[in-house]
Amino acid sequence: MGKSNGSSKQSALKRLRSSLSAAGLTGPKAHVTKKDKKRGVTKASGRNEDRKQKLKAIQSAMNPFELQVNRKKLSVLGLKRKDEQVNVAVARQKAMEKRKATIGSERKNRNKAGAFIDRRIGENDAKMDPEEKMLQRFTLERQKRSRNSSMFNLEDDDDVEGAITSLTHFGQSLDDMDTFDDMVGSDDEGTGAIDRDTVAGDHFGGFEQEGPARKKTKAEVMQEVIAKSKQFKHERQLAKEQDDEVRQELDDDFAAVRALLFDGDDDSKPMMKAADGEDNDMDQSYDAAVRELIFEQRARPQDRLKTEDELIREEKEKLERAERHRQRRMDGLPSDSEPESDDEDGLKKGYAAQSNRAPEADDLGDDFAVADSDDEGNAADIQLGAGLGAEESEDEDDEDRSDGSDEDSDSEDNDDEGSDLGDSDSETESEPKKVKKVTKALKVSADSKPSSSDDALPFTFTAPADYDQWLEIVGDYTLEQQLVVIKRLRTLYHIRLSPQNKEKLSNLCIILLEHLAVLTEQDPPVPMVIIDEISKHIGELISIDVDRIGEHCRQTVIEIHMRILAAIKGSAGTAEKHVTAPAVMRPSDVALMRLFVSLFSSSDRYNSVVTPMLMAMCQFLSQYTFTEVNDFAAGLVLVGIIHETQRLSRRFVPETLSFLFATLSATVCDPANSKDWNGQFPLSKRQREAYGALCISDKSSTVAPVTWAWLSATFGDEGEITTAQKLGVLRSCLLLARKYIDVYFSTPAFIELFTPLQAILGQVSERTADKAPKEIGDLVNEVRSYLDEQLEQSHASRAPLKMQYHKPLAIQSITPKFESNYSIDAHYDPNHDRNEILKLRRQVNKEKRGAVRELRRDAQFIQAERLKEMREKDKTYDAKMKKAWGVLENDQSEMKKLDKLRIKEQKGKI
Amino acid sequence: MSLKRKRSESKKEDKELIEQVRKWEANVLGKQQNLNDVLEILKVAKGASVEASFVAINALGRIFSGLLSKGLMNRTKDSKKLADDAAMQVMAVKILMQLMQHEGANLGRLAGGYDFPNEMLQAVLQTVLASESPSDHLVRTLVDAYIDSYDDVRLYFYRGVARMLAEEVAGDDAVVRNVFAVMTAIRSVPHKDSSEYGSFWVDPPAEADRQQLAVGNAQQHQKAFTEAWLGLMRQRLDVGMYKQILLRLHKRIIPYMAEPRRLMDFLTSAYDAGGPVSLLALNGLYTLIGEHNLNYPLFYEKLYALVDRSLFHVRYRARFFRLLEVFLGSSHLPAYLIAAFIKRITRLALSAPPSGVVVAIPVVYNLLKAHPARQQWQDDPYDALERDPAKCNALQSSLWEMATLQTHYYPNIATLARIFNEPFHKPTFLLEDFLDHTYSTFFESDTARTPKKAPALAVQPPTALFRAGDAVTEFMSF
Repeated sequence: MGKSNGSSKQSALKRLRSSLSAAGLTGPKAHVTKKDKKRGVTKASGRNEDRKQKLKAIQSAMNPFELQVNRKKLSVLGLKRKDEQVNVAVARQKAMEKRKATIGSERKNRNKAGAFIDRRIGENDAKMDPEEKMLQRFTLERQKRSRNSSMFNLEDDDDVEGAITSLTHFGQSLDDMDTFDDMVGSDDEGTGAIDRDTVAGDHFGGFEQEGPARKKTKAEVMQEVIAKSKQFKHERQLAKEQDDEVRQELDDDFAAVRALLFDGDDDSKPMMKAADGEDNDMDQSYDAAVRELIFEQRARPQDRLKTEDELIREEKEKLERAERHRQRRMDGLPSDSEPESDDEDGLKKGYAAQSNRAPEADDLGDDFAVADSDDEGNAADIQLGAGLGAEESEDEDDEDRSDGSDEDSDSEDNDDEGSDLGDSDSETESEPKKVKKVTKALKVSADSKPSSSDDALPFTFTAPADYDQWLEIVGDYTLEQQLVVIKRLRTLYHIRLSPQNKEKLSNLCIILLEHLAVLTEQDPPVPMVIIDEISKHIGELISIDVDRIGEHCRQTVIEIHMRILAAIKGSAGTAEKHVTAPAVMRPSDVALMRLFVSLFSSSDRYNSVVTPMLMAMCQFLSQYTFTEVNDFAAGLVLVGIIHETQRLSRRFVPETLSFLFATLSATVCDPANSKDWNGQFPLSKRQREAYGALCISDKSSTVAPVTWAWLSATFGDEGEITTAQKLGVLRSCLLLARKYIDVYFSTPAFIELFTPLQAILGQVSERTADKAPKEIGDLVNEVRSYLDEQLEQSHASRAPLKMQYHKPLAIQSITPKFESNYSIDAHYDPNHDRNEILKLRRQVNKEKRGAVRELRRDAQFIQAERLKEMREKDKTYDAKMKKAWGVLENDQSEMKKLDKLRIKEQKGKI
Repeated sequence: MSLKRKRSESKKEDKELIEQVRKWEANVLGKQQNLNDVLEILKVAKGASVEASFVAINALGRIFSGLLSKGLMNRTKDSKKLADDAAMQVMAVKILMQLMQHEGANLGRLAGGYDFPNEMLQAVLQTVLASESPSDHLVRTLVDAYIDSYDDVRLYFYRGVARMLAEEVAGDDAVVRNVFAVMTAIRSVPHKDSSEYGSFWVDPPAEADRQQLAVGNAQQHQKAFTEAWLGLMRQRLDVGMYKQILLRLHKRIIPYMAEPRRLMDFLTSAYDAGGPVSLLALNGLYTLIGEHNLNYPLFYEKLYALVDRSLFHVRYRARFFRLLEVFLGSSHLPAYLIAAFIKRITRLALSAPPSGVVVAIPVVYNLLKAHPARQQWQDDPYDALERDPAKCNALQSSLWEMATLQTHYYPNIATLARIFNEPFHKPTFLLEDFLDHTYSTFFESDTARTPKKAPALAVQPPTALFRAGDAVTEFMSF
């Protein structure tokens, strides 16, 4: 309408007239036709409304103020814009109608649960003529029919097109089938066995067959198929009947057979026995038996016992799974995310996956979970910059503006120790405690009464809560008896017996850790068997409460580290520290650290106990000044322990190699001459001089093996290391070196790492030739030849590294980028993603605005509707009330009239 | 009347005072116990009466010269009575300085211009610096109260020191040590601008003339400063002093020197000394090369030599790496040189503690990124013992060491080393973030927080403390 308005140059009156006639308001269709009347449309109701609306629309369309013209700045040829002219009124009208159809109808049906929907064609369409309606309905009907019939439209029975003359089944008229016997069984009726000929001939394979001259019609084929299928079905039924007969016979004979069965064992079946006796007796015993049977617990189905093979396989799988998890942790991946870890007994990782050892009385079983063990996430968490001590950085900065106060840089070239020193308070704090324990434990081993046998031991003990209580319990027993006590404690407070036992057992585990530390400090040393046994107990107990015991172990490591720091400070300062200070690395420290290595998964990329422990050990190895025999023994054992941690993961620990090479060199090199020392390992003057204590100068025919006792030994007051001991250290170094060659053989820099060892070994072999016994010479040569061989292999197998390919980065340009035709509307952001985001954001905003507008209009519409309804309601109410009032008033007037009449009558009477 | 009486009364008092002063003087000179009387004399000297104060000052002068000859000089010979003497020394110096001030003022008045009592100062300096062990307190007083605070005292101090050191060619260790102690304690530095010299012990007469005088002239100050330091550097210094001087050289000495180029000999010999001294000399040398056109032959060869087995362990490694980054930052350096440094650093990282490795990896990464020509690795013909970077064949060798460091036992280092497996698109590392680590910082960062999860347990629980076939059981018996 808008268009015609805009384009025409007619007068307004003409335009109005034409639009009125176009809308059907004037002219022949303006009046109500007979058809309309038939349809029930009266001029008064719907028709009138319609008319009103149309008039309103025309009115607004004709109103030039309701026509919005969007002027275009540029005229582009061939470009048509929708919004050149927008008739606001029409648009509003449309929106209104739409709302009426949607929200309005919804409102109408608001509180209604169901409704009939008239889906007949044209029933809701007021504009549709009845003829048109009928025609549409008819065509649809025809279409449906034709579709239906074509479904089964076989070639021969297409007599009447589109009409269903008779019912069919599989294309065959049901009338033609007198019986249903030869039907092909449908799938759910049976196996649907069809003989081979049918299949070969008629199913999909039959096309190539040389058939008879006349091709069988589909109907014939189907008939055959059906007939054959029916035959099979019949046969099957016969067979089934026969089976039933046989079964019936057997059932009949069963009574006799049962008598035979129970004849043999009369004792076990009293009721059967009773069957032979008196009837009365039999009945009674039978009843009794029945009652017995009622109350007898029924046998429950038992899980099938697994065969030996299955057990072994399961065990193997468990181990493999545990190993897989370990591997993943070693690579720093979470073991949980492993795809195949959906094992039904995922709880039994780690310890629970124990090898097939014989089950013991105090076995913990699998009723508690070994905590899932993956700490790799932590490794990523730790940031390199995190732990910077303020002290240290200050120290570094201070150098530049130092004011003579740091004149301590005199002789020591190696740093770190100055800044590394933690407070020694805690060390002194822990000292007396430990001493006390040691004395107590000394009492343990001294006072122990070897005479008392295990029989004298009580069978129950109270669970010890701390080490003192433990000492009270075991104070009087021998070490062997202590083991029995541990065993009994573990049985008494087994985790399955009570949930509270978890705490007791974890207490016991921590006590055992302390006990182990104390036992390893004893002089003379406690037999290794006892220590091993306690270690085993700890290993089995730790899974009770990994969190708590793990934390205890971690704290132990921190304590050891603090002592190491203090010792490094001491060793850096004065040379005579050994006179008073006890050994830094106590045997207990060494033992505990060794135990931690086997308790925890030491091959993990990050383990909250093992990783800090490694750090502490390495600090000791690289910064401590080794002078005495116990120092060297501790160093060697630590190197051994580190080897154990890297046995599987083969990570690179530079400090161990440096220590090994330095110690090896120390046995032969001149401490005064730094040029004499081969290798890359760092060597300060102070360390070099300290290593002088190890230099083999005399001849010795014996080699003193390194023993556990060396760790706590001070070996006399003279402090000199004997030549035999030096040779012992040398021998240990050589053995360890060979171990490390194995560990690091596969590392890429094997050649770089171990080539210096060649020179060192050369020196050793040359200079010890006349001083050491043949044993050492042989060992040196053996290690040398082994190293040579390995180096040769490594040289042969190593392929040069290649830089990974990457696209070269463009040189950063700093020239400003100019746009020749800059437009403020265009986006010049070179970042594609950002552009996209901006675009999307605009779209979202636009949509949001539109949605808000729509919602507001909806609300307005609803409000208007509600108002309308209200008015309607009020109107009807008013009318009703008026009516009521009218009636009442009428009545009242009638009454009054009557009253008046009566009065009149009475007066008249009077 | 009253005025007259007053005058006569004051004359009387004066006479009495003078008599008293003489008595005190005799007391002091006679026995050293009555030193408190000196204070009384000083009081008189500061008093209103002209005659009395003149007598008092004279007396003081005599007392002090006597003390100077007896007290201080004697004390340098026997330094056993230190507790007493420290206080005495300090007091004597204080009084002498005060005296010097008066004398200077007096001299100035007499000459009608300005004259610093230099001889007296030199005498004091001689006494203090030549003493076997001047107390810390004395040094501190001398520096804090006078040399640091007053420009003229400082100027004459530097001049005196320069002269003393030039005379003492034979090298008296005590003098050198004392001079070193005093000079390193001085905090104030010569200003570039003459107008900034404003605080004087002996006041010059007029503001305007100051710049004509030596004490007000910046050039004179700088010259004296330079001479004194150069004089000290020419002496035989022990390692500690050497390091201290080198440490403060580039920030506290070179910028204020008249001719920094004269330090060349000192720095060159320090750089050649090797070890930590060389590392420290690097800073000063860098300043000279950068700002004063020093041409140092074979600089990079020597720098290469500094990268030795103890580099990752020494205290000053952070300093060194900061400078190394600067020295190797030039894009005009030959590839072989960069390659040699990279190879050497990685080789040393194989035996370095984690704190060293954590520096080496970013350094190597930055170098590789800045010098892409280096990135052609083949076999490994690198010669670690070759001193000349041109001949060590580093350019043809692979960085096997980095591959091994990727399996370092400390997980953070292993992660850091993996950066070489990725394209070199990461921005260069800021070296500062990596320089201040030690074992303890690593350990503490690992143990500071309680872990959220319990540590993973071993697959097999231990059945014995030492596993059968354990490395320890192989060499150890129990």
